[in-house]
Amino acid sequence: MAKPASQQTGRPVARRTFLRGAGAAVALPWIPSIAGESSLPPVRLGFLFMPNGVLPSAWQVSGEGRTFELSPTLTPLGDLRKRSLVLSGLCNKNSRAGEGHYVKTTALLSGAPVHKTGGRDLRVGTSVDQVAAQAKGHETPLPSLELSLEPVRNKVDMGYSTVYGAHISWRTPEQPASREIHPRLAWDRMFRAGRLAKSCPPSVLDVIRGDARRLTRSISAEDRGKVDEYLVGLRTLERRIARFGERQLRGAEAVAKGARPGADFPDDYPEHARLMLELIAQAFVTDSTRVASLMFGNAVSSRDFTFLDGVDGGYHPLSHHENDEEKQAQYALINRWHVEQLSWLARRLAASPEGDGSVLDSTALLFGSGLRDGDRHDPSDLPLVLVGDGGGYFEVGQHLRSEANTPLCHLYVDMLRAFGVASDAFGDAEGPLPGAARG
Amino acid sequence: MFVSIVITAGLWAPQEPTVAPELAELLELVCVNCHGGPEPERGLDLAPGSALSEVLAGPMAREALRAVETGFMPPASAGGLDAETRAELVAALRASLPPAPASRAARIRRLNRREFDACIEAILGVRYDSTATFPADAAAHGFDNIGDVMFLNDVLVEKYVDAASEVLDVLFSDPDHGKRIGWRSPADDRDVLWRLVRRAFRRSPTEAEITDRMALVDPQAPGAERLRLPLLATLLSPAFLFRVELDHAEATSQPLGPFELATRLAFLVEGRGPDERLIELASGGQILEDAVLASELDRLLDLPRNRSLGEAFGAQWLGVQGVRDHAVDFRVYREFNGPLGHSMHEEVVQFLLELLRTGAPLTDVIAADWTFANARLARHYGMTGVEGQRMQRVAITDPMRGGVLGMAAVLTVTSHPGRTSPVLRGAWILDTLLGDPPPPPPDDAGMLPPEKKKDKESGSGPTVRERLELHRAAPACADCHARIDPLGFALEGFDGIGRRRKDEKGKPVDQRGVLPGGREVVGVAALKQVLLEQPERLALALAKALVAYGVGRDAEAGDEAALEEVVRACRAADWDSRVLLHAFVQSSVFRSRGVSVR
Repeated sequence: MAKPASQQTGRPVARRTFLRGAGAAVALPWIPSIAGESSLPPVRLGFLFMPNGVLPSAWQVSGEGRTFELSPTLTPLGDLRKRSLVLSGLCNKNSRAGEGHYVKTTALLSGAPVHKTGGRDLRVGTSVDQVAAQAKGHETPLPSLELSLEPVRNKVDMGYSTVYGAHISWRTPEQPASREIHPRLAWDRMFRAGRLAKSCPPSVLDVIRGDARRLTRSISAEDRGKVDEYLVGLRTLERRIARFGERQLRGAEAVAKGARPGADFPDDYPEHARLMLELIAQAFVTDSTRVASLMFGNAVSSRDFTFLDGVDGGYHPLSHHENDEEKQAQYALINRWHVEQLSWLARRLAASPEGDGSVLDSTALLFGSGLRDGDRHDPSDLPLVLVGDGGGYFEVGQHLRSEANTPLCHLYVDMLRAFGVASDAFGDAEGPLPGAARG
Repeated sequence: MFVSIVITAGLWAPQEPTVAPELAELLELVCVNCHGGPEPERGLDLAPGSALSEVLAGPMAREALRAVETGFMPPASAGGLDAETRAELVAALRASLPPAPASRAARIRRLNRREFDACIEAILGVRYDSTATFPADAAAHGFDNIGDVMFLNDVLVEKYVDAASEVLDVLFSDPDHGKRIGWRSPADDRDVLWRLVRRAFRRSPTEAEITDRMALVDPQAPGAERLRLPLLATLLSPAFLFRVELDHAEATSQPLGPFELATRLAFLVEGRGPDERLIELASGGQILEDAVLASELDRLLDLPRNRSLGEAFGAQWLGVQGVRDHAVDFRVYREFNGPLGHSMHEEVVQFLLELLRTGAPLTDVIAADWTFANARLARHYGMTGVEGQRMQRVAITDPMRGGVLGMAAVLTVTSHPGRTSPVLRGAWILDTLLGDPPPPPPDDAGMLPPEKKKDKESGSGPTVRERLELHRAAPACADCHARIDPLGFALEGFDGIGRRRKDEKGKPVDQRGVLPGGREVVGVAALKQVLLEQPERLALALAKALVAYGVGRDAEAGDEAALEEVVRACRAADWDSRVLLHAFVQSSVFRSRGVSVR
């Protein structure tokens, strides 16, 4: 059933030079001497967000614990079943209030309540990926990577800024992490940090800082905060260059081998998705970052999925299936396409050797949506699956059915622990998720 | 010492606020039935008593005034109110308003993507397209140049570094680059830097700023390329990337300095920093004079290069900047495509530019006998005699067109992908043309459920309007929708991409709406008539949009008096829209800086 995208669309996926160059990226693995820590491969965390919920009847797996059957939507996981942890019963209760989508999207990785606003005073919570990045991101060239397949649109809907619906990663409760939608630009951020050192020497940065010092004497405290954000950004950049500029050489090598994506923005959605997943794979394989998030679409995405056989409409309209069987079937096909993407990334990592195993052995990919049934907007019993045991931390190969309304944030305590960050509580949860960690 | 303390204490002692007896009486008569008793609506208790004076001294007083003034309160479901009593209540509430607090200072703004590109081009003559590389700017109050939501992090910093280096690469790749920046020999280093830094920083550079940069000059580099690093340090300086306004410690708004005023003016009209002439007028201080400020506004408005007022301000004011990639259901509207969306957008941009530049009456926004179109858009509108794909000014004879309510861009962005939305259209009119944005729906309001499949396929079943009427039968929804929907119903003669239509689902479209108060409005022409009767609301809404765009924050109670003055000036000039711009630029809101949050 799980055909590659190229067969489903009936037209070839233009492979550009990117995938051909995947081998080049594999040639730049994680090296203990650079990481400067233990000789065990580092743990990576990936967060893949699917908008608009799922068709529950097609998502729900049968059986519990180790004896469970993959559901129609999860079928693409195939033999990854034994490396997967299917989760049931988890709830993001703070996102129950508020409207149908934006709140449930933007708070998915923090479990925090969302401040209702059309623009000013955005506030939710620091997301789990950013907590991880802030704890250990200095060990890699990029602290974290935030990717998306759709641009931010500036609108107010139902009293909420759509900035909310376009961000799952939040650096601070007030500031979303900028996400990159262009594969080439994201790749350059990862592999071409050295270009910055070349173009902008320290003497220039000193002059800029001199300007800033004079400037901040006469502006308000609030404004000083903004200028400081800029200076902090400069310093982060400078440190990154100093520590990891040597990778420029390897970046150049990768460029030479054609691993750099094309300059054009991909106009084909499945190809765009694949390029971004490949970027995450390269980032993890080369240890350029250990934390990545990807949004397949913004909240309420009405993306046209007619490229799938059997689908003749947009995602969000179809998610309001009203128990119409034909709409339900199409909705489930769209959900399953997303699982195919997850599966592709997991297999890509599994095929990348590292230490005695593969990169997937040190990875935990969390995939899911911020609401369950798209026709009902309920953030209970969230559709979630984790692939990869995060360096032996998670008890995979099981369907873990938690008690109804168990806080989702327990899982984030586990993910942080797997990542090597001490954590006792996160969001609305105290302690880890019972049954998730290996005993 | 002792005496002064006593006096101070005496001045600041809370005086027992008193409520004028007429006001208390009116409130009791009109409001207390719902806003009183043990469980007052929205927790707002207006019953006579000690709490009332506190309510009326707080921020709720302005909200209450607005609700009564716009007819939102008391709702029809509570019996409504006759015009005379309403006027009395408005007057009494207004008389009791506490003095408005001083307006806040807008938070510092960095250049947004459009401004960054425009400034680079103005200073160095190099075109850069940051929309392709920078993260999108977030918006607030409808505009993407509001400091409160201008996030800045290392991702953007990295983009700045890349952009600045690329811009300088392009500059120095031109064999004539020396000429472009006015450099002939190393003896010119300091002068050239001084001039470019002044332009970039939008003020005279300090001695230290120039000395620091001179130290970066590379004597080995060929020609003017020796200035590469000093220029890089200029394009990456916070003094360039931020629109800096100096703070003050006063408790009231204070006049801007000359460079700051010149900067606000240039960005308002041109979407970029001041040009050489404006900077000269700022360094001499002349720009602070009313007459000079006015003549500079005129000069900038008349510059042919300038599209910013239509493109950046106008399109965002009307909320149509997204029409080019609006989610349109192509199965329903096969005719919609990229070039058509582009033409729709361009109509709004050019219409507003022309309106503001020529000083056409502001009421043309509601009803005009002219617009801009090309052949593609004209065909969409069913107009004849427009040829070619260049947008051109055309006369309108069709009573359904003319004014923004007949513009496809507006009608499209206020529609759902596959159908019209009288609610979105009504809310858009309230917000944009009447300055009375309806509150967002309650979180549990739900959506109009999609159409039943059999109805869609057979092209029968209830119309959008009929489904909506069922939906809003709930009393909790009815009060707001009674204000919103009738305005949108009057536009039902247009489909979801702004074409005229006569029927929906085989039934004639029903363009009839009944306003709160009972007035019947049938079709767009009648709706325009209603709006034309209250141009001051449109003028005030426009003035408030100018505050957001030009000052960088939403309009506040403290701005009201000044903005009402702007509206009066415009009315006195028969609603000449250029006069409104002038009055706004001369107003204290535009010319001063508010009070910083401490």
